Amino acid sequence: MHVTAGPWAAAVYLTVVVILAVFADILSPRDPLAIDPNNILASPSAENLLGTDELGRDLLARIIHGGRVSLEVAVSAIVLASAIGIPLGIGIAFSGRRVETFAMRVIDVFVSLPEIFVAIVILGFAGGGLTTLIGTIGILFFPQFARVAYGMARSIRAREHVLCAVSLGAGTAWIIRKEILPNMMSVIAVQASFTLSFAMLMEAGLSFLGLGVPPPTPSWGQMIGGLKNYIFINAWPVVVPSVVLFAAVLSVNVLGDWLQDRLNPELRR
Amino acid sequence: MGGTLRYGTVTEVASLDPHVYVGSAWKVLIEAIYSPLVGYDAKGKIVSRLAERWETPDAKTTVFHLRKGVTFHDGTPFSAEDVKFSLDRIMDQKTGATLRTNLAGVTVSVVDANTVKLATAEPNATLLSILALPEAAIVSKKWIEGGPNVKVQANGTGPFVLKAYEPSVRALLEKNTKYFIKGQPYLNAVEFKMIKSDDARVNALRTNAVDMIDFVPWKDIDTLRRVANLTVDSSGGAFMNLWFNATRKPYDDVRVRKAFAYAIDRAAISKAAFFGHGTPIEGPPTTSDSPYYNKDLAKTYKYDPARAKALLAEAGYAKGFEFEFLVFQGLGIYTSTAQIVQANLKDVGINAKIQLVEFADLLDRKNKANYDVMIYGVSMKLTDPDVYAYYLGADSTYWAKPIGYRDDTLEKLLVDGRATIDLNARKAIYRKVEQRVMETSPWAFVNFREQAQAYTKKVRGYSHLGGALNESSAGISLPTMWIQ
Repeated sequence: MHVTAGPWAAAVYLTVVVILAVFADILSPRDPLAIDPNNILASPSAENLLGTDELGRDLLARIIHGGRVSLEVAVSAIVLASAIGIPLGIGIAFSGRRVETFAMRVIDVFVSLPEIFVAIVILGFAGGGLTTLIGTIGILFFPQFARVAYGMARSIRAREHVLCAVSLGAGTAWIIRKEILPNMMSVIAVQASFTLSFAMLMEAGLSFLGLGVPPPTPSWGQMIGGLKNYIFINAWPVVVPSVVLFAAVLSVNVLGDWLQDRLNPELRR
Repeated sequence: MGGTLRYGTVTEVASLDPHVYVGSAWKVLIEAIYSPLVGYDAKGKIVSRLAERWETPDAKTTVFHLRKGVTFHDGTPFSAEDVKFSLDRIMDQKTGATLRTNLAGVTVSVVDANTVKLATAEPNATLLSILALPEAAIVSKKWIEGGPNVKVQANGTGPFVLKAYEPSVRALLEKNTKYFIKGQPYLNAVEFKMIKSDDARVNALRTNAVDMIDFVPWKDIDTLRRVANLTVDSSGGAFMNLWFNATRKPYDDVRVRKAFAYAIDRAAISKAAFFGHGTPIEGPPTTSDSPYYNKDLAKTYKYDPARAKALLAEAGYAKGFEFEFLVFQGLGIYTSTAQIVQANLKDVGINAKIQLVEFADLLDRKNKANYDVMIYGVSMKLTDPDVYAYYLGADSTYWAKPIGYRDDTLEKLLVDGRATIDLNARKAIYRKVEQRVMETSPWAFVNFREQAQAYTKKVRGYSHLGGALNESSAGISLPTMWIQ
């Protein structure tokens, strides 16, 4: 299949972000926590390639280290959400009619909850921090994985090859492992890619509101939240993390779209 | 002269009880609606309000001669009974009045309808300066006994009458045409709009939705000064501190508290967190214009990380330690200060874990002594140095009482200071107080912060005061302000 420029650019951008985030300690030009009171809210210069923040800290260094937090939270939250959601969805699909109806209505309730509101309530009580942030976002997104897994498991279960396996005496565990899981992986991958961009935005939004990682650890959302206050003094610094975050979320979505086109046989036709 | 002043304030005034302080704008409102016996003028001098004149026959007695023909806003005549009733209400524990401990031990007796006598058990040098605060408002006995809801209703003798009030949202005041100072107030009305968000308040001023705002954010002071139509007045009126839970390990060790005081780079904080509108406090928190200023103490805690390290090592923390640093999340000055302090402490081996909280949480944890170290901004409450009793005295619920901190040497000095009338003798005592405060370092003082008010050129007659009267600036100016 022909790959257009969009997915390529997205993939390159994300690769750069991931590499920078993973090797932040080596690649970062400066210490992201070094304060310089004589050089606050500066525009780009030879010394600070992307300028400085409200405490004179190097923005490039903070963007690189901030990407680490954003990605760590988003990816861990997705892993958590799928680790809860997928087994739960499959379990429900194999659990008989009454349980199934009841469990799915409960999941529907979870899906219908306004995410940001629930997150604010949880974090308001539990306090911000990396672990609570991952936990909260993971819990918010697991019902969607459960729904997808449930739907897929039900439809795959009714296919001929599964019926064949059943008639040959295969147990439920074997069927789930060998027939259901491999066949739903592509759909889960698409779901994960879309949820990833949501999770990144959610992390940014919560950090923006001061409910994310505590300072001085940088994260993109927290940087935007802090720097927006100084927009009338110098508009430049707040633009930097905003553009970086925007491009990252856009890239994930573009790649997710491309992935969906590739993997979904319905759309390929 | 006249007009309506629209005033945007940061404080969401939730109650108008004239004896219970709830924030700066409350103070301005209460000073506009009520009157105390005496007041401050724009130079900080104590002047006549409801008391026409007063005399002190001996060091323990003050006699006030009241104005005649004054009426409350509801028409009730004002008399000596109202004074006794009001001061007793302040001293009554049930009221929860801000000045209760300051007036403790005062006996009020009515001599005749226009004369009141205040007697104190010990000579009390601070009495007049307390009675001149808006918190010492005189209320109508008859009105209060009628059982009004004092939190939303008001009936004073002040220059303005409360016309409308929505708690935490707005208050509308109109001119009191029967105000006892002839010719005042100049304004026809004042509308208070309570706008908590810094950016919204600044925008309201920029877009002419209000004529004046208080508590100009530090980041905006210079920006607004460049706007042609606006005036920004600023002066020192509050200071930032690190508060230790000084009875909890390791902060019970004076060497650890001193180490913090040496470790902080106050110049960096004033420059970055306050955009240059702050002044480092390396000594006691007394401004150089005060008669109680001690020049030789002013440089006690200069930035000296090596000394901080040595003190920590001496205290047995050569490898440092980790603690939870409680910080209010709503204002940039707090979060920026916290991060600079955090970086400073890291240099001497202390790992501060910042925890951002809402102000209500901060207060709650302060009152329950559930913290290690926190940042706390303090406005200068009194002109008198007896304010040290308010800040650090063992009976003060402000800081010392919840954690059970008591320094007997300091307590004794504070009692002496209060009982001494002669200025030079007092200076000597408060010098010892400040020396003791420096020795024990119960708080690490950080910097004085400028407090700024901004207003359009139409607003006239405002004078911005520094020091302890800063918070009262608008309240003192209001009767003689007008809109051009």
